[in-house]
Amino acid sequence: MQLSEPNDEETLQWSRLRNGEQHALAYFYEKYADVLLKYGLSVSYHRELIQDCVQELFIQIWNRRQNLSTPRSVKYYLISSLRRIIMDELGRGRLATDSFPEDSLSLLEHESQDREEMEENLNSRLIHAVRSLPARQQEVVFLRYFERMSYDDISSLTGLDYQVLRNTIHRSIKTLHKELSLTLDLLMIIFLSVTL
Amino acid sequence: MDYRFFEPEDFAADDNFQHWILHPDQQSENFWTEWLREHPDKVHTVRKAEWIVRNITFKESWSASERADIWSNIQQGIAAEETPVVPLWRRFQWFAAASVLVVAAAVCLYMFRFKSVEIHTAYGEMKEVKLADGSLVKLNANSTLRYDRNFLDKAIREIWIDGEGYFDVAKREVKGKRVPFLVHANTLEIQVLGTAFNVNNRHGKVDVALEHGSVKITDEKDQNQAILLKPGEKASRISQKAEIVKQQVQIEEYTSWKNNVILFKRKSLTDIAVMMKDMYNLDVVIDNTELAGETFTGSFPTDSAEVFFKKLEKMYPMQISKDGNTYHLK
Repeated sequence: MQLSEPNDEETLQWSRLRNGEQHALAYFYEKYADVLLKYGLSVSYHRELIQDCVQELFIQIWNRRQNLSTPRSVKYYLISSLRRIIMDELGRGRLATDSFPEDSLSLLEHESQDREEMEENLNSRLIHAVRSLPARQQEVVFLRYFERMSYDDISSLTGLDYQVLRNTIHRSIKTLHKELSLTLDLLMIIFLSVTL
Repeated sequence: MDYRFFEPEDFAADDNFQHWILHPDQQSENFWTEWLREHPDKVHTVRKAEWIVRNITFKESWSASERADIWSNIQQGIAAEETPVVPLWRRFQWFAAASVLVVAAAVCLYMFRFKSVEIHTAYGEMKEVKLADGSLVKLNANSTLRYDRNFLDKAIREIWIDGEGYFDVAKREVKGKRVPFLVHANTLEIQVLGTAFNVNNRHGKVDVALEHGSVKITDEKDQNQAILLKPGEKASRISQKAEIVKQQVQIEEYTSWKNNVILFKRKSLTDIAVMMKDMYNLDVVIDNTELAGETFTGSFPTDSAEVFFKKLEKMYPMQISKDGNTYHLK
């Protein structure tokens, strides 16, 4: 995530939003709706809840538009605001967290796989393994590896201090690696024999 | 950092390593190429870590209809908040102060005498009820809606329905906290998460069909029986003891009545007979037993059940005779 680089288009749209132009709100909605879903599901794998929270987020932004300052990064601002809304909802205990559907991916392995097939299979297993991590780990993995956020930003977003954050990441990756270990070994052998 | 004893997960979790993969620059490129040249036995390990870091991805995205629903809910939410509050009291302060006392006294008396509000529709009648929070309820024929007079002051907005109603629920916040909306139908509780849906609660059977948004349905007596509905889904329970069953439906079939059209898709004449009784107090007697299994697909205006019988007569070789409030199908 390019947090530090100022984004002219976003700054412009943000000031339009603050002036009460609804299409500017639509601009941010269109741009970030999917990222917010992916992130939201990392906090709580519950699509309806996240849908509700995303709605809430944009309504809140609109209602408070006159008091908003221009954030350093709109994306960071949206993600951290969504997080607060989800936490409020979960804290109220209104909804339990659904778990990621176990049967959504088949984990069948075949002996005679070519490299592409094997990599594809491994890819879907990785996706599955990430979604099977505890919520806190999923969230951190999402922010670090998918959003490429800096440790500082993740720290201030999640409230985890640097060391805890690193341990959390380490633990997550260890789990992922264990899940994939055997196939990954095979893939690497094929991979390296081709590239080296 | 001594990388010689690193396992793949250690690399993948290492700042410098991540930096090289996620935000490559000349410096990290130099460092890692050099390091790998010095430790050729670690190539395998590093490539594994690299593969993991590169391939972590998240595939979920909103469907087109979810995307549109969310946006329309946002717009609704915005519209609800935008209703301007004209500070009239500023202009009539003294008058207002005096009237407040009078009104307050009247309200107290009123609330004391009537604790709950009940709205009822007669056979063949429909009503549109606007609740104090801006939510709309369209009440179908022969139905009753009940809620506490101080509905708005409570931590939960609660409402009870017998018969059939279409709910379009407005979001409400008090001091930044969302106020939940709960519909009671028989012993089912429908927990609303900002949404529009149809409830049909007749003869102990409850049907909830969701148009957009989302609702959670629980049994008052058994909180473990809970179901979440997505748009286009219907939950039904045929009796208090039965399980709640969820299925995909054509939502218009359940909500068209609010636009004054009744829509049937392959609905059995027996089911239609029950509905005619519920909504219009018309008795439909199927004298020819062979007809009982027949179905009807089509529509008719809510204010004229007559049209339905005319259409039916054209579709099937049957004779329909009317005797007071009773129709005979032969």
